[in-house]
Amino acid sequence: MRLRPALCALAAGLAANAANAQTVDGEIIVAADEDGLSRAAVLIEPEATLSVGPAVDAVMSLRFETAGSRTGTGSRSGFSPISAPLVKGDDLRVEIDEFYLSIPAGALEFTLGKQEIAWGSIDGARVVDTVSPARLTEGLARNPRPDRIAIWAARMRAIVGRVDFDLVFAPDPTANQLAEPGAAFFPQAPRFLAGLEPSGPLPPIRREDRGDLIDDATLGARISYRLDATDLRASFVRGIDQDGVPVFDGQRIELRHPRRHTIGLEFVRQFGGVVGRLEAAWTPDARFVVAGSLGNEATEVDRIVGAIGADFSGPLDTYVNVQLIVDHVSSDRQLVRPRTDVISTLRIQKDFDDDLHALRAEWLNSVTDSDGLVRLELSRRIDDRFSIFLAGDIFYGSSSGIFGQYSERSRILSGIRFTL
Amino acid sequence: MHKIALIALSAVAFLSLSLEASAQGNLTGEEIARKIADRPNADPRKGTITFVMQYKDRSRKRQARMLRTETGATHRLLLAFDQPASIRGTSFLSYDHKSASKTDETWLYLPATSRTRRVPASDRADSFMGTELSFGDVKDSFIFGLADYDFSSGGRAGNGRYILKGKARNARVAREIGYGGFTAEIDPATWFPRRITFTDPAGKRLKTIAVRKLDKVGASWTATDFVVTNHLTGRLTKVSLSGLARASNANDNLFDPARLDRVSGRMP
Repeated sequence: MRLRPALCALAAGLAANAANAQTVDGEIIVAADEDGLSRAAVLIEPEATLSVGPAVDAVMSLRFETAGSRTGTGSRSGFSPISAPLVKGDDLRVEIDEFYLSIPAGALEFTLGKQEIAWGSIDGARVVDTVSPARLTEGLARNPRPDRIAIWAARMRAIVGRVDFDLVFAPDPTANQLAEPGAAFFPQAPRFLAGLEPSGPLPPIRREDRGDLIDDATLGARISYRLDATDLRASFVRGIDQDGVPVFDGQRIELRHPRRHTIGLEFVRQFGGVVGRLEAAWTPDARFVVAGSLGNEATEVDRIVGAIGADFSGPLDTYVNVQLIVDHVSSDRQLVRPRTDVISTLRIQKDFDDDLHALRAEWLNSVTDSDGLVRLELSRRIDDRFSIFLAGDIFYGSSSGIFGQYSERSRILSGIRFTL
Repeated sequence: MHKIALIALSAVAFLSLSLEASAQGNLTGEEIARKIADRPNADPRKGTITFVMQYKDRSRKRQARMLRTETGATHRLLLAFDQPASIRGTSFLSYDHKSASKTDETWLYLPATSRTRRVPASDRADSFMGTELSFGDVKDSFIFGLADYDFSSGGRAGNGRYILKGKARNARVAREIGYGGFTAEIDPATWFPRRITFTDPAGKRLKTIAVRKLDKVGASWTATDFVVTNHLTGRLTKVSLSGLARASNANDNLFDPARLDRVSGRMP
């Protein structure tokens, strides 16, 4: 669908009497780091929901993003041919954000079209939440996190007593969206650059072609069982490696997206005043670059990611979320990534002064690399439509770490968010 | 002989009056609380609930569509927020299990995260969507948790209403529910609290809920107009329920937490 038909469809939706909900979300952000203005961006997301039949909804939204700064709007190469932005200029991008029909049929529900699929229960870390790709144009310093990208998919959900089934077929091999080479948050750590440690300009980087919509399609199945205060879920996802495997052929780095299979388990339980979450994912055919191979050899390994987390009410009426994530690969060979990554997260939120102000503090810490990210944000509600915020992202640690690679990108941010 | 008969009749009359008084006028606190808990509440109901929060010269409004049903052992409440636009699509679901051995369950769907989350039981005391009601107040449907309080009766007020007092069973429960205790006026015609004054866990007067209007669907009473006043902060929340009606066609799948992301457009 090109821009004009998409805009016409959305405009018709926003104007239609049948539309039962229309909103326009957006934000205007400026950020500065030690080199000056690092981000100046405007994001506007109009959305309309229409009733098109008995209980059948059509949801359509667009995403207009413009950025005239070193952070940019992100790479263009991560999108599959059918999800390519309608406008993909250097400073302006227009995407169909979501465009789907939601059709209930008794205990079944079908969702057909471009949609976001959110699995998993751990916050911010995508352990089993691997169906929809994510925007990583500012590393892990994005709001929301993960900021999922909607993909074209057919989804069927079914309720059978206490059991829920969720089946997804997504012929849309869109990968995670990274920052453009040269942008403020383009990865710098060797593990993301085929083990290379560039002291000068990077070699050219290109994405592997992902034009085969069927062979590279994502297939997902999840079964959930709810008993008293407990949720148990098992999932299977077959699709491309959305992170990509960077391989250096002596001339350039190619970001490959091999197919992989992931089996996931989730356990969520309410223990009185605490909700505990446990997730584990096993990928028997993960691929990583072998260290010492000059970046041109990737090997297949077993990857197991486990995460445990808890939500509870803390002192002074705060909301607290703590998590520990362990990402382990079994390989006899030395890889460009550590054999085990251990990351802890802590988030504390508090609303005060009649919900006029909100304070959010977050600490992401890599135990393996001794690096991390501290995020602070104070927001003030102007009214029910507008709020302003002042925030800071402080990256620290070694330049080879997940967070430390951006240690020169610590920044202060300010802006306005709105919902109309 | 007549004298003996009169004495016997008087004794019988006195005894029966005493029994009746015991049955209707001198109920224990536990008995009153149980009558409130056993109040008919099973009729499926729907309506639009409006919260108007007032503080000093500021006023905010939240509006949600409501659906209540009961499945024998569990009372279920579903709220789908429509206004303001910033919270449109947010949905709240609670299961109140009648069995004391089962933990009550609450879920919240936030469109910003695209996920449905279980809300910890300790969050019963937290403010519900910025109102002066707590999560517990919303899901409890004007029923005092039998496992949460030790009850006592304060007799009857001049208007004939029972005075029911409750004290949180222990400090942990007080922290969880956010209340150290309460004093309530109970209407014996409906077994509905008409005025409740809560104290905080430290014993300070915290807030008063004054029920101004009740409406009936089937055998179930619902508060359709009430005011919550927070004595510590001076904030006020006015709650009104419009369009209250029997929700005989309510789809049971709406009450599945896995579907909470789609209920907004599906509420009857």
